[in-house]
Amino acid sequence: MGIDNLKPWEHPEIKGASEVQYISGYALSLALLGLSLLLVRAHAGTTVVLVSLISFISILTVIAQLILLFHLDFSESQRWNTLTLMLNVPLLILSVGLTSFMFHTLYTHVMLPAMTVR
Amino acid sequence: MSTTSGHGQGSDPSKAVLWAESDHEHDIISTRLLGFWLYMLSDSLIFAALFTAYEVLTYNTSIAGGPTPAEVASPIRAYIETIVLLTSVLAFGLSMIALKRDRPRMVMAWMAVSALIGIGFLGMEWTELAGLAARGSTPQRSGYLSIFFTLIAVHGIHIAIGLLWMGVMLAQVARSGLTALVVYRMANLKIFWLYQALIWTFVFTFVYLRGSV
Amino acid sequence: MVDLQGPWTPLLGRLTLQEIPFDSPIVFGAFAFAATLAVIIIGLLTYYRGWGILWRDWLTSVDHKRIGIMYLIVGGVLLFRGFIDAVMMRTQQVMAAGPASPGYLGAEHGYLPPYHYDQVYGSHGTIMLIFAATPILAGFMNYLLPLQIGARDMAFPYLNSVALWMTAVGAGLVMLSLFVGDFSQAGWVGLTPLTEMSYSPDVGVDYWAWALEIGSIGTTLGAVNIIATIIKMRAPGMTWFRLPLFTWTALTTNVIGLTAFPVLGVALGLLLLDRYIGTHFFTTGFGGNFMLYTDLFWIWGHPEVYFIILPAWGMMSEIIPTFSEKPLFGYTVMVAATLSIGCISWTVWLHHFFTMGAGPIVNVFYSISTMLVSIPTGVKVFNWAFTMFRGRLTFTTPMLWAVSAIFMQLIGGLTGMMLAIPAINYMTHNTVFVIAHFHCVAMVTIFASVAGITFWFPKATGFKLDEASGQLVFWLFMAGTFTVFTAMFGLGFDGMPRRLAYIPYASWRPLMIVEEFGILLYCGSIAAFIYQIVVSVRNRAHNLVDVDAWGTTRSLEWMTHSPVPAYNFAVIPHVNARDEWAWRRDNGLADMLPEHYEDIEVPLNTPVPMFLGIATAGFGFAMVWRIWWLAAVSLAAVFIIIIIRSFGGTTGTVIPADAVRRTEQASRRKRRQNADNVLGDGVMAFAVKPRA
Ligand code: HEM
Ligand SMILES: [Cu+2]
Repeated sequence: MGIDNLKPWEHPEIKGASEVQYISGYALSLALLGLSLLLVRAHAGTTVVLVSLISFISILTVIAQLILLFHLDFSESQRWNTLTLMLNVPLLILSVGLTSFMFHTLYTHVMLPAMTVR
Repeated sequence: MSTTSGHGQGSDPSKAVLWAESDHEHDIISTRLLGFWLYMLSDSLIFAALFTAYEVLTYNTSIAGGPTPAEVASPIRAYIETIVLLTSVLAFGLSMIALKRDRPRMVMAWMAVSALIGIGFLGMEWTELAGLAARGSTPQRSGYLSIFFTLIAVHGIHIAIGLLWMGVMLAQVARSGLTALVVYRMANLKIFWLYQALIWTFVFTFVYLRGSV
Repeated sequence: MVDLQGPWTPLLGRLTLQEIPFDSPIVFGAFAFAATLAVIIIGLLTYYRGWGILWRDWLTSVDHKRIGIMYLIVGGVLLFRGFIDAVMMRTQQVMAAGPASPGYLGAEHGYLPPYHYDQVYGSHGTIMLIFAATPILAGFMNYLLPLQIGARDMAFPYLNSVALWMTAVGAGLVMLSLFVGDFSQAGWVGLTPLTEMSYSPDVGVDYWAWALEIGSIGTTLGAVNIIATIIKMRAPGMTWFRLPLFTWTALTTNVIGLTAFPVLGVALGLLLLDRYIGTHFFTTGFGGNFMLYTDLFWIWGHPEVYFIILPAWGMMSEIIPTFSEKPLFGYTVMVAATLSIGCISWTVWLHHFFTMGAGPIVNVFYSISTMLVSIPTGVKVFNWAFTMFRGRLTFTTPMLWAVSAIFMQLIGGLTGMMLAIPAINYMTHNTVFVIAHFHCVAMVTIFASVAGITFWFPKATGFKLDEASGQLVFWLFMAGTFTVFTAMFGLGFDGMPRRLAYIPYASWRPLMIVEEFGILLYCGSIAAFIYQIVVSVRNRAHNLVDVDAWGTTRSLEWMTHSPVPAYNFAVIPHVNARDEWAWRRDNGLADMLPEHYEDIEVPLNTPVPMFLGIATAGFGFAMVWRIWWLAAVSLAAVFIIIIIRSFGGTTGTVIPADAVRRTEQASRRKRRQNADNVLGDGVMAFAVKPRA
């Protein structure tokens, strides 16, 4: 295969790695998740607020990891990989979101009130 | 009705190039990386489905008088696990940097470090589940515990497979050095390993933290 | 571990001699039939010294064309099995209508006891959707995609073979359940909590679930391969908006496959956990929620039905323009419609359980999203119609099938719209009206597949199928379809429930007799099809074709020889237009040959995927019967095989440029001779006269 004449470690998808990115990705992830932990331990806010906050932080963390650890971007070599990953987002939202929508509605309709409380 | 209409971007037939210069280079590293990303897409849908089930099975009906999420999932312990897993990921990242610099020994050394820390993480997941079961909170106790155990166990199985893969790659780097085949496998393994940390972010947030909100 | 009813031994698990139903005459007949067939095949192979060919050219091959054909064969065999199931069910129902109906063979009414009828019912659906339609479409995609985009093979030829073997193992498990043990009695959808251990204590559900799990691994791997192929392997000049429409639909379908099948895997996996270690996901006590299963199943299930229909639409979009001698009308809109159907298919799944009672808000949401599908679907129907409008139509067999597929699409789609209205759905849900609906849409896939077989058969073999008998097959099948399903819609309006082994009202009998008559027409059509194959093979010398079998074809696959050589294209074409081949033909470039040839690298054959298949089959069988040691050994074997192979060396070999040139010239010479022969016999080479 033609790839043999190229040094494999010089491939664009390998060359992208850098210490700074890995270390900052590591630190940032831990810091963000630590923040979530603190918020929850301190009960900083109502349930709805807290859940929204930690969800938001987890999304930030994931984005940080994707950029800093996976080196995903829209460059020629990464474009399709990034698109593939982005396809996850709507599917995750649809399956989890619509399901909880339907079961939440279902439980309020057909279950004993005592059982619906979460 | 001419058949030519609607050919879209048809070029001038008299000047057209009809044959490719040579077989266009198939860059196996990027093709296989894309293949692996596609596989990871389906793998993450496994977790999406599990999270869907988790969402439904955390209602009171599913807790069925058994232990509640707050009693089962300890966020502090989970945060320690997070630190361990991310450290393993960092070590793997350093291994990839050694790879970029064509230093097979460093590649192996960092990968071994990453694997050792990974084993530690797996051990933590294991003791957590075993401890719960020993206290009578088995997966057979309630729908909620069923999904809790399954979610963690599926993540653990992924970790175990990643560790096995690291062992294989250690042998392959030692045996054949950094050939194209070894390099693309390392790159795939990196995606796989980092992905477990990414999934863990959601597990940490929506299982452990959410449970004690 | 859960408590089992019945014996269990460490060596054989739940397997005992009683599990082999010697006593059932029907199963015994099936076994005799299968055994005879096997003996005949083994005999023929030995007589014609076919074993080496079978091993070298087929079982170990990683050539996408051969893999495609093997997929089609697996699908075809299972299609036949599913058809037999259908005949059995229809016959049972017509015999068991009304309290006065007599019983035979130990059944109270009809000839199948409910216990047996339900297994036939469950296996029919499972087989038709997962192990017939899906492999047949996978076969088409494997065969055609690399050719349509101008590639030498798939992106991952070895993975391709693994995917085939996984599908075959899944199909094999379903077939095995006929002779060893039982099959699921809970329908193809696996109705919870009926599938739980307490209600289905035998191995039927396990067979069903493991077969699906293993088969869907195959589908997922195949999807990875096909998507990567389309993205990475296109010939130079093959831009996105020059891709043939079949390729677009294959892309969309496989994105659906890749993302939906894991959800099925999880749904079944959780069910299996319930059955094997006693968790409470879908049980009725201890906090299980059996509607969660229904939810997960249909998250996969609805995208899956589009998985099945999209490639069919793709094939129709290739065939209709060819026999209208016009480019496809509204290509860009067709692409957009395909993609948007792919997206919408992910948002509608609750329409399969409107009656769950989630209430008006949820139901209205899903009702509206379901109805949105009709927009792109309608667009497609109109585009096909406009393609034919003022075209030069030739009604060859493929065209007949393709055009009728549009009619089936209309009926199926419109009844689907009716079902999508919750108020109507509450009346029709779980009646045979639903059955009639989805058979009409599934028929689109069947019609398009038969159209595809007839259309691309000459590409794969070098000769066409017999036209006259092909038309007979078509008309019989069409008549059968209308007879069966018109009557079934009627019964649906009457409120007849689905899944009945005994029909309480004798008043439903007349329409069921009509259905049985339709089934006879179907049987006639199958017979005619077998006759067609025999005649075509016997008279193949009269039906030989050149590269462009129909004379009016459009896409790249028609540029290379029929049958296609191992390397597909001697030199990869440079694409200049959408419908490149039609463009070359219209501009007088069809006979242009490349100036020089180069070495071509092709992948080596490998038996490893077959070994993986065997190990997986062992695992599946062991898990069904709970033979733990065998399961552990097989699973370890799978891992070891994968690891050992990853240490392997070369996987490719080179066909030298000289050899390529010789093959090319020889096949051109042969083609000329063929043409002479055919003219010498005074028989027209083409049913459709090629237009210069
Ligand atoms: C035009 C768009 C379509 C609409 C609006 C539609 C709508 C529906 C609805 C509402 C149901 C549920 C009926 C019930 O159980 O009460 C249903 C069932 C079904 N549809 Fe469709 N459908 C469409 C196209 C298709 C296609 C293209 C296929 C696949 C070939 C298909 C296959 C099925 C199957 C297999 C079932 C029944 C599953 C079962 O319960 O066993 N449908 N459809
Ligand atoms: Cu549907």
